[in-house]
Amino acid sequence: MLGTAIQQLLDGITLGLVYVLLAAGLSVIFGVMNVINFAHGELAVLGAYLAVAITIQTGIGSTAFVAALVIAPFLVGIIGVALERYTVQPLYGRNPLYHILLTFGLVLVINDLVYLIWGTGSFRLPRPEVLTGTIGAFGLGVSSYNVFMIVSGTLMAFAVWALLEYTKYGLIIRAGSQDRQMVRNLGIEIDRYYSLVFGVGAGLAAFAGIILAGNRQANPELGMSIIIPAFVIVVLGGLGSFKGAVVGGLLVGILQESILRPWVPWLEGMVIFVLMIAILLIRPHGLFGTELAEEGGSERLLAGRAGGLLERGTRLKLGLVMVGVLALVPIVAGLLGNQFWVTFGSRVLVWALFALSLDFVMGYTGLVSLGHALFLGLGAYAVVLGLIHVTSSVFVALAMAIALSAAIAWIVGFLSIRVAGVYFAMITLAFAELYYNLLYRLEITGGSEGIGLIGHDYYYGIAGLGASLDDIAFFVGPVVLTGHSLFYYVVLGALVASYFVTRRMLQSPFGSVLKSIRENEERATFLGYNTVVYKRRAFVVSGAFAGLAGGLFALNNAFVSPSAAEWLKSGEVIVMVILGGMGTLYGPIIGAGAFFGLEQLLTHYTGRWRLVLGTIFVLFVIFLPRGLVSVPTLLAPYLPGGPGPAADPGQLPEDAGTEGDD
Amino acid sequence: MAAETRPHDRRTDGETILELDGLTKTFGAFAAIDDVSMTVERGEFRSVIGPNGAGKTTLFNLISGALSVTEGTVYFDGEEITDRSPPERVARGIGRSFQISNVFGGLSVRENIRLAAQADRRSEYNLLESFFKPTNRYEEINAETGRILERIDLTHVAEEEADALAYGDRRRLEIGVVLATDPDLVLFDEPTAGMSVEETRETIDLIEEVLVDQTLLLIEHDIELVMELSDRITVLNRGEILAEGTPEEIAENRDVQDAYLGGMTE
Repeated sequence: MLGTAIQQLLDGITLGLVYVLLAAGLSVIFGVMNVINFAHGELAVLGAYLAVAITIQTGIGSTAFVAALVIAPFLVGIIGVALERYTVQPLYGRNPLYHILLTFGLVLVINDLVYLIWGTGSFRLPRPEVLTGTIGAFGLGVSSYNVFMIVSGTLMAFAVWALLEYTKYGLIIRAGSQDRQMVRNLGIEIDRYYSLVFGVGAGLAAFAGIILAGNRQANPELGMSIIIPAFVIVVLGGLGSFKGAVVGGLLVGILQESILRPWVPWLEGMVIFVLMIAILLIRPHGLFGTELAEEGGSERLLAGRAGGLLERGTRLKLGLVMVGVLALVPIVAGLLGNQFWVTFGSRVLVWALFALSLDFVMGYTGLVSLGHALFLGLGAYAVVLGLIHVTSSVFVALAMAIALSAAIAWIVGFLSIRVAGVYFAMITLAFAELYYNLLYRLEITGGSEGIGLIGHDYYYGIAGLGASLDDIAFFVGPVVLTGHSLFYYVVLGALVASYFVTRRMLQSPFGSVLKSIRENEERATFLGYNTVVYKRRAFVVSGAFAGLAGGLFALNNAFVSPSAAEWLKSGEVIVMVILGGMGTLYGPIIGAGAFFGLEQLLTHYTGRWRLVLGTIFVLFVIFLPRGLVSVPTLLAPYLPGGPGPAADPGQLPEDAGTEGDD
Repeated sequence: MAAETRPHDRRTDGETILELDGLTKTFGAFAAIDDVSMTVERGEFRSVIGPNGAGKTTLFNLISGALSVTEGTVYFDGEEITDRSPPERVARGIGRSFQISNVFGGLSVRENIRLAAQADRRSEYNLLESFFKPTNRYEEINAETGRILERIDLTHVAEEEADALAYGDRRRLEIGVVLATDPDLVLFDEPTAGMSVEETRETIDLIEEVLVDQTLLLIEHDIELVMELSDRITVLNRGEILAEGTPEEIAENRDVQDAYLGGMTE
């Protein structure tokens, strides 16, 4: 009994040390550069794969293992330096949230690169013979590889600590994480150390990935699964604190492996998020972090810029033409006898609605929600469960989805909007992950299997009046519209209606305050606006529309599984908003179209289309942060007959609804 | 001497608008404001002066609500507001001016003013209207916006973006925004910092012209200007009130001369 407990404790410490190494880099990178590096997990995976490649090249054995352990982190370190130099660096001076977006793009790129080079299989790092046995001590058999992990992990952590504590570089880096400006004022070019810090952090992550890959099966998805706990640890210990990363890493490792998994497996995967939320609410700077002034946080997010080029009336007409073209899709598809474009179109329109909902809160109040999939998932499950257990009216079920998502958004907003910027992003991520993990545990949601609508009757209507889409048909010339085609119109109608409702809201006093918050929150406060209340309302509106999107998402598939709420979905919707141009409402719709259009185009050539998407996204974040909608304004000066090069740099993104009278 | 040269036509009626009672603000062991009590009369032009680190800005932040009070009480218009949030204080009539770079740069001049007027007239619309009725349909608010644009002489550039305004016009806009919140008391924290002598003069004249009916509380480094304009002056030093009185009394006060003015006045 005691033996098992000690065994479990050792497992916890082993995993904890891996976390320590990951979180230490993550935390110091944040402390010094204010960069939240989402790609940190991918760098660890990259390290593990490189190590495998090296051991295989040099012939499996102790020498090969040691060589891999030295060379792979070094290589990843160099990659880290290059990433900092060429992708992160152009973004300093912008809102730190752009680093989150950038590194999310890097996740897509690195992840697909790993797939491309090494395939999808799982593997285990070949261990040298010395480390395969068990060591007997006190009547216990401890795996010698675990001992190796503990010893090497501890040594590495100590090395980093000594580096930070006793070297000139360490001193500058520690000072930099306290107060960058002060260090600059002392005449030290702290910026030169950024690449170094990023590189060392990447190397550490690679080392952690390598030793972990010798301990358990690893695959390309490993990065996605370790990055989230690593974030929890960084938040727990305090953003920017090395000591916090060490304590937090061990704490989470032990909590996960030694307490939750053996004793209360039901709670595994949830407790850490509850802990993360609690820490962010009670002590946002974590256990050991110091309260940092959010440097650069006052920099605005860059909204799309489209207004001014076309007349207001022209744009309205253009919009109507677009809706008209979209409305023709099922008919043309019917004529061609190809239903693919209808199902594809429905999917794009659902995501367009989801992106629109995120834009309402991100583009207009500057709150970057990293957990918007929470509301997509809530809406999706609400509709499916509602149709199975409560009602057979789709409209009632959708109303339930909207109400539930709005209510949860109010609660999440009430708790999280007090913390700003990066902390808000983290706390929304935690809520979404909590919900995601809960979906696996609950019986009613069908666990990991998900839950389907097949075999359940439901109709589009209310109070018994209405019809199932499969039972009715419209005849348009030679084309019969039924089932999927009709659903397409339901989604299109929902999207157009949502667009007009949100646009109307932005022309109201409420919307005008949102815009003022985006411009200058402090000033809005001293005009007499309680900005927290306004931001919360915006979040609720956004949550409601995301819930609607989620409901339609589930109806489109007639099925829902926990993946509806995974963090990748939250990331993808942010990609769409940025691609299109945030703060414009229609930009994100265009962004969703571009996203899936690209997918469609690229899957013809490669299954790893995210590599291209990620690259494009990274380029957008760096060079075109205002998105596709701003392209015409950028090109205008160079086009013949254009309005000339006097394109106003501060141009308001959208219709500035105060003056018009429509 | 100062009274005759003052350009404004202020009236004080002896009624107290702002009262601070035993106000204290500590940061750790350091008392930035230490047991400050003072009263300001309605309509008064009051300046707060003192050496760097005297606690002037902290005092303003306690009045505007940007900082919470450690000890003591703030009364405004006869009501205790010590625990009120900044927006609640704005609603009661405490306006705060920022330096001129602090307007909503990406919004039009009209929208800047309109937002302030809208904040002041929230009773004119209900929650539903606030979400769905377009801003151009609120006649009172838009009329008020128009009046203020006239008052600050910016009607001709009303549709331009605030960022595109010339320096002097932005200064006007800033003061117009404060005026549109319909304050009874306006706090100015060094409104002329970084300005040349002429610009400083123009700014102060503008404040006096536009905000003649408001009580003004001003932090200003230009002692000459302060002496000339103020009804009364409060001198802070190390978080405490060193002296208070008319410009003449302050000029003659030995403590003030020793601690702060030094050889500046003869």
